Amino acid sequence: MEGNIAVILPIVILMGGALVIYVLTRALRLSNKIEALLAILVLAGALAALLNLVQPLNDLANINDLFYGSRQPGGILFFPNIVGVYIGVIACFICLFICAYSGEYLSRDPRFLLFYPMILLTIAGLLSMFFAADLFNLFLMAELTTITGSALIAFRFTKEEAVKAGFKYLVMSSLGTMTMMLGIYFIYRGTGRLYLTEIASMTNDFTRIGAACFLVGFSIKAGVVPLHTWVPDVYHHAPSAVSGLFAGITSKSMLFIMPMIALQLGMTAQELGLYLMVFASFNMLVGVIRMLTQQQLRRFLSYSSIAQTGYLMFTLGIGYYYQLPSAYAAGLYLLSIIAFMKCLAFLTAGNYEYRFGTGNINQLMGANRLVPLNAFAFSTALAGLSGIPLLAGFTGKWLIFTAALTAGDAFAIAGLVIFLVCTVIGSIGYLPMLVKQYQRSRANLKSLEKNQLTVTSTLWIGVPVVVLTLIVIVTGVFPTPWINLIENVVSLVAAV
Amino acid sequence: MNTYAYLLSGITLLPVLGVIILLLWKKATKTQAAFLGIISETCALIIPIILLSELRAGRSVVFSLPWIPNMGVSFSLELNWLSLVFLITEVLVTLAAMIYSLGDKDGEKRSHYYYALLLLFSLGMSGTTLADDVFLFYIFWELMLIASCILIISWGHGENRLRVALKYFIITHIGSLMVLVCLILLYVNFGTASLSALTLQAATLPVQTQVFMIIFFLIGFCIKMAIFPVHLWLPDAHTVAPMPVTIILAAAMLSMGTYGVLRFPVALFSLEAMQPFALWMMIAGLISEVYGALMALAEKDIKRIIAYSSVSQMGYILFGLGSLTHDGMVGSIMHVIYHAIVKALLFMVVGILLAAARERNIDKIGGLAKKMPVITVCAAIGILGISGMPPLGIFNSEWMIFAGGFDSGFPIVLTVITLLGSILTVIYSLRFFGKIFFGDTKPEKVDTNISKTLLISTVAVTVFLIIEGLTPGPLLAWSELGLVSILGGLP
Amino acid sequence: MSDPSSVILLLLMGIPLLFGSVFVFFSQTTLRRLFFLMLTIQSVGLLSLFLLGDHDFATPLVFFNEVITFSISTIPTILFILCLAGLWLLAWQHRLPLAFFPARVHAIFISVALSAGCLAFYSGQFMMRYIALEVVGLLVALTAIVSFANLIPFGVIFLILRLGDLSMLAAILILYQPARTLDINTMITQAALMPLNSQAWVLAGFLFAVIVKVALFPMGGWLQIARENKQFITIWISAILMPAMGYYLLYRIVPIIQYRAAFQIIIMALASALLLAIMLVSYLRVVPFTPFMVVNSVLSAMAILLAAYLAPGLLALYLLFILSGRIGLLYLERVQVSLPPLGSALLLLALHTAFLLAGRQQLPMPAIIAWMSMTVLASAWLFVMGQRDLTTKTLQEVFVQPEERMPLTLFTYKIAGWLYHQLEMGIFHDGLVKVRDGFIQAADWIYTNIEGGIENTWTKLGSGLIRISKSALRREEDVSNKANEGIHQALRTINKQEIQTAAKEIRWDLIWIPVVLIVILVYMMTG
Repeated sequence: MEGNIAVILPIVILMGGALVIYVLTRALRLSNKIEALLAILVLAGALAALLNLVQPLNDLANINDLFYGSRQPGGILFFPNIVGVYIGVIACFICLFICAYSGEYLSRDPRFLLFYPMILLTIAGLLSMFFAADLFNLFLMAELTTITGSALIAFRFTKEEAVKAGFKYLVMSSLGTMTMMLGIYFIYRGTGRLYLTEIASMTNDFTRIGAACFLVGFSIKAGVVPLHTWVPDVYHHAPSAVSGLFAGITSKSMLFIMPMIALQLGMTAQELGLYLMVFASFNMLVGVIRMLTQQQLRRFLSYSSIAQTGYLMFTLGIGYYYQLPSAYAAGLYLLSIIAFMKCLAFLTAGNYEYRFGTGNINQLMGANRLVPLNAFAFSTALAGLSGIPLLAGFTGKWLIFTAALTAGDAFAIAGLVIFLVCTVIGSIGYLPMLVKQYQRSRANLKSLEKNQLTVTSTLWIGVPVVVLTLIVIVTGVFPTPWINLIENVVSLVAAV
Repeated sequence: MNTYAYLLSGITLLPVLGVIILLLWKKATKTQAAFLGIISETCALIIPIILLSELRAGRSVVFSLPWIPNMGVSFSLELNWLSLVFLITEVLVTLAAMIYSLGDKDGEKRSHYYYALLLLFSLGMSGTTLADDVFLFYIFWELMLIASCILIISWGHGENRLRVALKYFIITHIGSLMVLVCLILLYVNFGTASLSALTLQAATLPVQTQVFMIIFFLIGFCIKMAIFPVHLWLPDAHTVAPMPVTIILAAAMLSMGTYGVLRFPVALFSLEAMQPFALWMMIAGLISEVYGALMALAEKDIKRIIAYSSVSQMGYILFGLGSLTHDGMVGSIMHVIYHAIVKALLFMVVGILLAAARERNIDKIGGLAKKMPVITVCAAIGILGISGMPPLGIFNSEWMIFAGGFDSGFPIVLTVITLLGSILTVIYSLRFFGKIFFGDTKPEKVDTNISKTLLISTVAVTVFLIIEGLTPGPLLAWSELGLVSILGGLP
Repeated sequence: MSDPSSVILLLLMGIPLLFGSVFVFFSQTTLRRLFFLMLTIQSVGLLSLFLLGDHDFATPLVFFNEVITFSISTIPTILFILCLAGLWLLAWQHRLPLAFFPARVHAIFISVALSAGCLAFYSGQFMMRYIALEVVGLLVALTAIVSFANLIPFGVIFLILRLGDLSMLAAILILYQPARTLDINTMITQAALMPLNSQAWVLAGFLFAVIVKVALFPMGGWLQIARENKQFITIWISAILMPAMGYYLLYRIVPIIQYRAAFQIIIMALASALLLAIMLVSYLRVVPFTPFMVVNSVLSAMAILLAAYLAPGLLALYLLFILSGRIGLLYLERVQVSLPPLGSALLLLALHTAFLLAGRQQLPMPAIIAWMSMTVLASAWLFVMGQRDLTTKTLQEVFVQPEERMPLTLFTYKIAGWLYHQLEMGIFHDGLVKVRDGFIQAADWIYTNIEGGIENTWTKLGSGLIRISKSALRREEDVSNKANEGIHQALRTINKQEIQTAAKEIRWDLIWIPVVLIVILVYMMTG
């Protein structure tokens, strides 16, 4: 074991923090809120450690010294990269809100103490997948996210659907990791190596088969159509905070790991781009069409999430197929804003359920009278997702258009047409959802008032929702700093 | 930037201020909220009039602030003659609608939101006319749609208002997206979002791209103009919306499509590039004109009759634009303004009728001339106006449009048919007028106690219509200057 | 601008409007005095215009970037003076209060019409004349409103006149295209340079307008309707002023007709055909027109025939003659005196022969033949018509009792009947209603089929999407239910164990396991 300890510091903080939190809470019988605070502390530490990595990563001369692990056969090796750090920062940032939110949201759950460690472990696994420079490590971390993920999904284990959803995720996601395992087998057979940097210089047909296996594996974890069937169940039945985390960042960031691995395994950028663009159109169409009939807020959001995965894939696909860094930057921007908007949407939808015990939009008619702020935040998130100007989503839409039109050939334009159609159909889906909260229905309002589970919301829920709403609005109006940041990231990637 | 530039930004910022105050002032009564709205709009009306001196001196007023520098997007507004014409029309219509709304029953509840949204609606339109940046243009373009959509959903009449609003949103949104594609294509090709910079360069694009963009722009804006067969959102939206919103929708928002056609395809590309589309635009205009008139003839709901007449009138405008001649285009710009006044007047009359008779079916209303003499006179003038009687405005613009049609070099018979098609306008408007104001009095109980505000605003618009019709000089000069400002010279 | 005739003309246009606005405030007696005062002023003004002679001048007013000009010449002045004489006649003849009922409105109508008449006769711009014609047309339609219960006369008149106006507008605008000005003289001169196609359109437009304005068969129905209330003085507007304007328009477009020989022949043929048709139809008594209408129609058709070849000067003379004939007929009808048939026929014959002799130099042989035969025919027809008492039988009786018909072959009768039914009835009495109904029916059909169809397409598109969405949902639910059913039991067991585990206390005695694990991990990492 050698190298710069700063590289694995964020991962260590997250993993260790998970353990410490669990033990402390269990031992001292701390309350849910305290544990949430502790988790926030850990996340803040991890954030600091991640930001600490930015400076060394900018130092291009010494970039090869920035690693941690052992280069012996069978040893594990971490190579940080700027995209991973960027996504890690966003993930940690979002988890801050999720943990704070859960401080109130989980107050009725007796088993809260497992929740925060699991969240931390998921983030740690995600980060490690980005940093992992050897295939074994990658597989291991993928398994880690699978297991923690399914545990989180089945968190409300008294509910049958939740357990089913967790099981479904476990099965499908394991299928993904098993495919990856198969890929690793092929690669090892072809090259006898597990280090990606070494394999990159000796690619052959075996590694290409392996790359294909990895592609499938990541596609399952990202929810690419037709491997998306876990998505609606999971996002609907998992705790809303978990859905926000998954829909917002974990599943979508797989789309960024996928090319990192596949390109080093001998797959060409064109092939990858083609794959992404073709399946992107399926994702977009399936997502928006299925979205239309949903009554359950979270099921609706999960289909919209599938569509958004499609948008993301489309942008990245253009980036790879036509070698456009601007499209890649657009993809990163899209990922970040979708993370915030989706997280906000799930948190507010969860708040409806927490408050009224129902997530059915028809039963929530007129809810804005009782929870005006929540209704406003939810509509902001939905409006943002549907790409209404002056909210974050519009800049994303603009960037997708720009990417497709810069590419400019018939293939990209065809994709753009599908994207346009989907945007229109999508707005058919979003608009009623947006409006129905504000529809006056006296009978419904009475029954809502009667069935309230809690009457007041505390700052634990209020602060994350308000901050996220502000982020969505402010990013929409002034996207400049953010786009600057992403352009720096992309220029760094291009330089490496 | 000088003082004028800052003043210009006031056109967009003052309504925003008004909106913020209205949103915070939750206890505002309807009158208070309305007055705040009227004051903001009056400011937006006064500023362009102040800036007129600057325009007269041959300078266009530009306000520019960097916004998203790495995307080449800036918050820049430009006032030229073309935007001035559309801006003043739009603001005047909004003002009239706001004054009218004081006497109207809609918007009693949550009136601070109501007027805030009306202001936003107007802001979207004034921003659209002023924006000198394609990003900004689209933002204002969508703002106008969203604000009107929320107004329809929240204060509209009828159970199906959500469905209607959805239809309105979707169909217009398709148009917006088509426009957006073109805007971004421009942006991608030249790396700048500034409209003035793009206008200088756009003609250098390859021909195929130009053709593609012209088609998309035209379809996109025609959807906003409610040209057959993409007019379907219009009758429903107009019927369901509360009356002040209907007035703004019909009189001001439709004209934004015209502004778009002039500002984008016509100004960006040479008239030669537009030439292949001229005939299609004229035919589409003709079909829309005849079709709208026929629909108005068949319709029973009095509000929808006037709504369909908008489809018909927009047909004239597209016909004039399509002729691609000086007369036709100047006529179209003038027609936008005259149509705005006449349509505002007719909808005001319809609003009063609906309030008085509580009945929408034209077969069940009749003989109101004896009970409401003033309204009858106003309606008669409006009806004569829309059917193109000479001293009233629409005649002035109509003959220019037809002259443009004859000048366009296409077979004379096309314009002759359009011209004779206007007889249909006479038929439906006479049917409307005759059935409502003549014949047996029905329903028996008519509430003739009309609010003073409604009456005053209606009469004021009528007088304005007559004045505008008798003095077309300034309007003609402005329209010609507007055309010069986008084409750089008279064609 | 400062010379007397221009001042007089502007006063002539301004004073009636001034009077018109003053009329509102006065009682019946004063009103009548004021009305006659206005008439006197107008007449004196017109006479002085006539004496001062031709004069062109420009006003400081601008219409569409063009200075508004006026051109005073003798022929319109005489036409207008004749019209005014007609008004004097009508006004003097009826001193009854009935003639002014409802006094104010009708007086105002007439004053506006006087002002518009000045504009129509003297304006140098075609567009101004068009506007004047439109205004007068509106006034004609307005005078037809008798009660608030019925707007149909107004609608029909307005529509027909509007049709004529629009065709005139089309002609003006086609002329405007090469001329780039609205000045009448320039436009007419420019018309010579236009291609044949455009010229034909212009001519057709103007001619149709003339036919409508002078109430010539088959577009004369509006005058018939307007005459329903012939006891009112406002009949002047529809029966005298409007045709006078039409005649003047005909006079102005003579150059266009005479640009090409083809036009001349066509116009001649058209006028002859119209003439024959109207004579035939009225002779067979299938038209409910009064003699007034019929004679006017015949004379107007003769004027159009003449316009094809005659020099403008002679034509103007003929037009003056017809107009005075019109006025005379109207007057006679109102005083209920009928002309002696033979005398009138001879008068007609004599006058027309005189015209023929005067214009024989200009007329080619076919025109002379047509002219003469038409004149003879018309005189004979007038004589026969005068013999008959037109009021004894109604239209139905004529049709029901064929034996009482005039001795004519069934064939001619059928032609006349066909003409009447197709043209006259077809266009006006039922026809206009039918056209309107047809439009409404067509509109209804389109409304239900096309409009509804498009609407349906949208709805179907939407519902199709929703159906796909729903069926996919159902299928997915099925699959997931089946999959979940199998593992259901197993899950229950796991749940139970999970609950038990969670309920247990931490086993501090097993703390060594994680401790050892951590130690091993640390050992591994530090290598």
